[in-house]
Amino acid sequence: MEKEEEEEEMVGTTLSQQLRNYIQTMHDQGILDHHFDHVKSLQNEENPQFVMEVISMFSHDAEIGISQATEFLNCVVDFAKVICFVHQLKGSSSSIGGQRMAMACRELRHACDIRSKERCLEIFGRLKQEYNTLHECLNTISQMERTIIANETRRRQP
Amino acid sequence: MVLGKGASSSLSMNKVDGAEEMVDNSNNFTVLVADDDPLIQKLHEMHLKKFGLKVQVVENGKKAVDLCHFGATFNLILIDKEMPVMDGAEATKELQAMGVNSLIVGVTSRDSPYEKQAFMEAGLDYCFEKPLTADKINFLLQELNKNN
Repeated sequence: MEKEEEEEEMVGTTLSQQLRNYIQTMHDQGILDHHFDHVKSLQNEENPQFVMEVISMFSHDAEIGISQATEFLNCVVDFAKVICFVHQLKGSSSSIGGQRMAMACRELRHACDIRSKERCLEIFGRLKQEYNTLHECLNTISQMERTIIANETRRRQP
Repeated sequence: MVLGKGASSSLSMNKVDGAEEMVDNSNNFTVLVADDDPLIQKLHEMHLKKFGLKVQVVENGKKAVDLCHFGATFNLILIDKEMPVMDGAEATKELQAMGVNSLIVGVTSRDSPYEKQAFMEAGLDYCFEKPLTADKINFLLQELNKNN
């Protein structure tokens, strides 16, 4: 029984290390920045699912924001409304550490400022790509967190 | 960061490489967070609680004003610019008109100096760009400790 517990602990440690390595890779690629580490540091025993909750909230908000920005970029562009959604996306993506997505939001804001529909559409396309990349990354992190928590719960059961 | 009237122009923040230097919160400071984004509300709340601060959250400027109008007091008010019902600028003007004795700090996604200055002119003490970080919280705690 003790050996089983040791093995489970090793699996947990390995998974945690895998998660750390994965996050570092995302840092190296510029997908995540240090703000994600700050978010992760807020997770504790009282809030073991904090990171997963934040990721879920971000994805939900971002998808609504992108969908609404798409609408305002159709036909006659409503730049003022696009700017509103861009700022919200920028705020949430930078707060979660989505560096490249936040940069794309900044660029889209500038394109709106010069009232260039063509430029807006070009950058919006890139923003959506950055969101997809970030979303995939955060989903992977979420899954790993979920597995770590499940393993830890199993380990602690009598 | 943009500074308000009367604020010192030479500021230093306790930034320690790779670690947060936590400023003492034995004064039990209270914070009101006004932001309509549930994600930002959650992040701000957790960041501030990590510093031992007591946090209350509202989703628009009107609720912030109403809370203060009905007697709630806060050492620090962190206020977003864009909110439904009443935005941050309007709420800040109302809070100042009420004579609220809180440090009022804008936390906005708007990054142009012109937009931040326009928000400042509503009566903010400081204006930060999102995200809220440990460094910014440390700085505000230092200001609160000074004023206390």
